[in-house]
Amino acid sequence: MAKRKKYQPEDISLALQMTPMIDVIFQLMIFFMCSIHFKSLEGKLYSYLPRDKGMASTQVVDPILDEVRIKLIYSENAPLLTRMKIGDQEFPDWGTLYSYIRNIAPKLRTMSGDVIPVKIDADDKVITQAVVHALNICKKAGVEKTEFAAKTSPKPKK
Amino acid sequence: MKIKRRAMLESTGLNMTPMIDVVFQLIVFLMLATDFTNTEIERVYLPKADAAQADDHPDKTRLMANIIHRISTESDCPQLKYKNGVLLQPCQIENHWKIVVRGEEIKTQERLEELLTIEGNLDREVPGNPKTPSNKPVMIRADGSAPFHLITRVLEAAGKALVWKLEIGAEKPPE
Repeated sequence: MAKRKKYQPEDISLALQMTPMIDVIFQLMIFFMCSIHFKSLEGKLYSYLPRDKGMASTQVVDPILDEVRIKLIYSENAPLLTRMKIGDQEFPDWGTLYSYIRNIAPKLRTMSGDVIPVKIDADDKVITQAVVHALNICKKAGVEKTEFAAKTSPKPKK
Repeated sequence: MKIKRRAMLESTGLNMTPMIDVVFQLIVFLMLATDFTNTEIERVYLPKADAAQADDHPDKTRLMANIIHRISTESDCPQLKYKNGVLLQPCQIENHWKIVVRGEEIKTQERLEELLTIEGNLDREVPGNPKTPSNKPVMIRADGSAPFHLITRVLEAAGKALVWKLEIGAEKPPE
């Protein structure tokens, strides 16, 4: 008769079974890696509407002399190259427009203390980047008040 | 040759402890860095503006009007082209652009005005009087290539709702 093997306490492994835990942890890690949205480092430009008038004061009217209106014109042939005009003067690039705005910015406050706004009047199809660029230039040049000359937009198609 | 019994019992398994440590660290990091609260934010290529101020302590309840490019078909847009985040060609197809507020795609101007009015009513200068200006800020997060008239729609609705504190989302370009 074969001799029964004697029970050896050191043969029994006391280690925990790690495999299921590692499986779960990996699942968790993959979930978080796929779903992660890092807190974005976004910024903002303030563009307040006239506080007590809503849009009433930003309707398009014929420009008056005391107003600075940056006209952003969309061109079908080159949608990325927005044309920029103030009055009859056309600017070849953003740098020239910035220099112009910087020069006139200190003159935008009247003797009575009123601030003359710079209005950004963009065509409907002009891309947002161009409008934000114009707004950015105004902020950098020290313009105190910037407004959008908003036309009544066409009703969206259902 | 006699093999020692003890040598046979030695474990040949990998030592998992350092790996588990690292994986736990990673999980803790990912759990802390994940921000599930900003479900309002849609993915857009924001316009770049170096004068943009950091949006450090935004009002958690602030309404965001996202202007995004979204098409219903599986195919890519035939017009919109980006390369490494740089716009090469904008999309001028009207129904590819959507205004999305809190996950809802806004179909009509009336709905947009309604949402902004509800939002504005939360902080009127004279509480309870919807005819007084609202101090509730609203952010417009528009894709850099979106046509401007969509922003005009939001401005119009905000004007009618007497919401005047508008912020335009922009990304500060790397220095």
